[in-house]
Amino acid sequence: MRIAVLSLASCGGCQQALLQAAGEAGVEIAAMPILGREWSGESVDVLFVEGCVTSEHHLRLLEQARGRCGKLVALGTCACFGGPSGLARLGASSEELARGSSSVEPRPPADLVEFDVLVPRCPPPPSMLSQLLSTLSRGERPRSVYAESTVCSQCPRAFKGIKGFRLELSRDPSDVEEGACLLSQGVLCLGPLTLGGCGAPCPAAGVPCIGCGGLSAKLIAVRGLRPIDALASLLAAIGGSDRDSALRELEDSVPPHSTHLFTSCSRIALSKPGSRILPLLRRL
Amino acid sequence: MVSRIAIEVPYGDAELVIDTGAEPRARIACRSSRWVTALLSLAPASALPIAASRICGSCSSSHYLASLKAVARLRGLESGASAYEAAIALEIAAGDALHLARARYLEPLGLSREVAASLEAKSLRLARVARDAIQRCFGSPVAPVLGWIDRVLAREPLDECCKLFARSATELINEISRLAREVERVVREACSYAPGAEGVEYVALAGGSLSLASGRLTLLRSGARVDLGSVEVFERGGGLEKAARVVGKPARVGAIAREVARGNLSLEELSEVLETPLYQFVASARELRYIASALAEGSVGSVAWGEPWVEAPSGPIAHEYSSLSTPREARVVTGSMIAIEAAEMDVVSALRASRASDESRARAIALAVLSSYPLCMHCASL
Repeated sequence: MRIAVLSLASCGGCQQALLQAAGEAGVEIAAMPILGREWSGESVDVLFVEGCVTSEHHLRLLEQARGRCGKLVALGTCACFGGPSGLARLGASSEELARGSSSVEPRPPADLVEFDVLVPRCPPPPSMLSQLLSTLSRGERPRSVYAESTVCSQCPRAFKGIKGFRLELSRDPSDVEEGACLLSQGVLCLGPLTLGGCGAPCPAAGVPCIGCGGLSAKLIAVRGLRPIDALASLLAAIGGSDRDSALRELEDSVPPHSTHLFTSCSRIALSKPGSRILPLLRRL
Repeated sequence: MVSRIAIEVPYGDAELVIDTGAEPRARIACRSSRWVTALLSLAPASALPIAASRICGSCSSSHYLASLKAVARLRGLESGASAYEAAIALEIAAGDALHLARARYLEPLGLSREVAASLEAKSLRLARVARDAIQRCFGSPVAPVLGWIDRVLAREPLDECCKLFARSATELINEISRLAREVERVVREACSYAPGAEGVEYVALAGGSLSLASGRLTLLRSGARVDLGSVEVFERGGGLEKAARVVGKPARVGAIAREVARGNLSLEELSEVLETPLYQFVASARELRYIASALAEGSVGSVAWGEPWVEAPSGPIAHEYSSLSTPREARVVTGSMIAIEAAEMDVVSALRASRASDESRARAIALAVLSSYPLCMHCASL
């Protein structure tokens, strides 16, 4: 099986993971920028797209991609939802655009073309990519990542309700109760909003989830449900308050993008009906 | 005459400014901001290493380790030994091993299919051993370890992992040594990094970071050490804030750049001759040999940098935090600053050699020279 990587605005981390996985799976790499070989439009069995679209050049490359491969895979959270590369959108309306330094607002490729497979996470672990490569080389359809629930479903910490609970943005998790849910102790942990399947290593180690896997299937699928709404419902349940006051408190205390940093330039976060990920979800 | 030339780096736009006056000058600056600080500013101290590792995928573990170190020091904890330096050396070794794994894709090396496949398999295994060692002692950017500070203080697992790595590396290192020497000879003759002119020394580029981490900045040709006291930190401005350089370093000649400027070498030939991955292969092999022997002897040593400075694979990075929970600043010096400075110097050399007064010719020369440098600039676009 011949594979190639089309790298857009990205940090190269997903390529590093794929390189390791490809070596183990024994596939042929036709093009991979970190190997010094850019994809120039040649046909391959699987084309992995990494990173975000931030220029006209990226758009042109992406337009070529669909017709030049057997399978098109969005590799990593940047390609699926914008990820860290899409954070630039947070500033795109201010001095960045005024300086004319960004020709195209960051957009995740998954919003622009239809992919056969989405592999979110930042970066996807090599073991997961090895498995994907094996599945694809056998000509089988990979299991959708959206079969997974949230990070919380795999977290070993126990949820607990606390009367009069308050979210403290600056609270350091080092002084939280061992074995108890970070969020219920006032630490902003994005586990309940984030696609699971990672094994929840961060909250398990006392580090709050930062949402690198992108939004959960429920948040993507339910029209009108914003990440901050879902979080407010949870906080209301934890603190025994009503949802509206929890939402008001949240909106006052956290920046508007803080609940979905890794999806901040995705239509999933901005306006769900426009996302091309929804058809993939419906196929489940 | 000053010209501004827009160039593209992986994360967006950068700019090369050239001055073709009597004393030519060149400067590269990043114009794009990725707003990664939005991610960093929301993370509590314990999540900073996880967030900071997203600054760059190629250097993710280095940002992770740098942040761990910064957070530990904020808590008044010291590892006591050179645990972080050992971890960083392991991370650099993992990066080097991945470079070597790419050898099968470098035709100029002329490796047989079998040798290339064997090299790839062994290199990948070695990279895994190194990363597993870091993971076991410090966690990883995507899998932090509970109680990592205690593990660092205990030091025992790290020592054990370092020795395991050194043992695993021996077989591969023996295999690559002969190959690396041959490749090095080819590269020295072929590319502009190779000393080709009299009285010119070149600072190891890919190997520079390790030599800094170990307190041994080496010159590529002679292998001579550069005194760390001669490394100074300076303000770059233009969004790049700070960088480091060797004071009184020998001038770079940029033989290839001069040839391009004189019209003796076409762009097509340039891309054939200056195959940077070839150079990286040599540097990686040399570095890996050094790390393995240093780890086996337990002599990685302490970093001679000031408090906030921590080594990254491609250059020094700085994380500064003012309090336990809120990062005042997570400023990272461009990881590719060594390459940037080298590129700037090569552009200047080319402009000087060509004496190009015509703006379009000067721009073409500058761009031709720049095309041979894999400018990353991820860290510069926070």
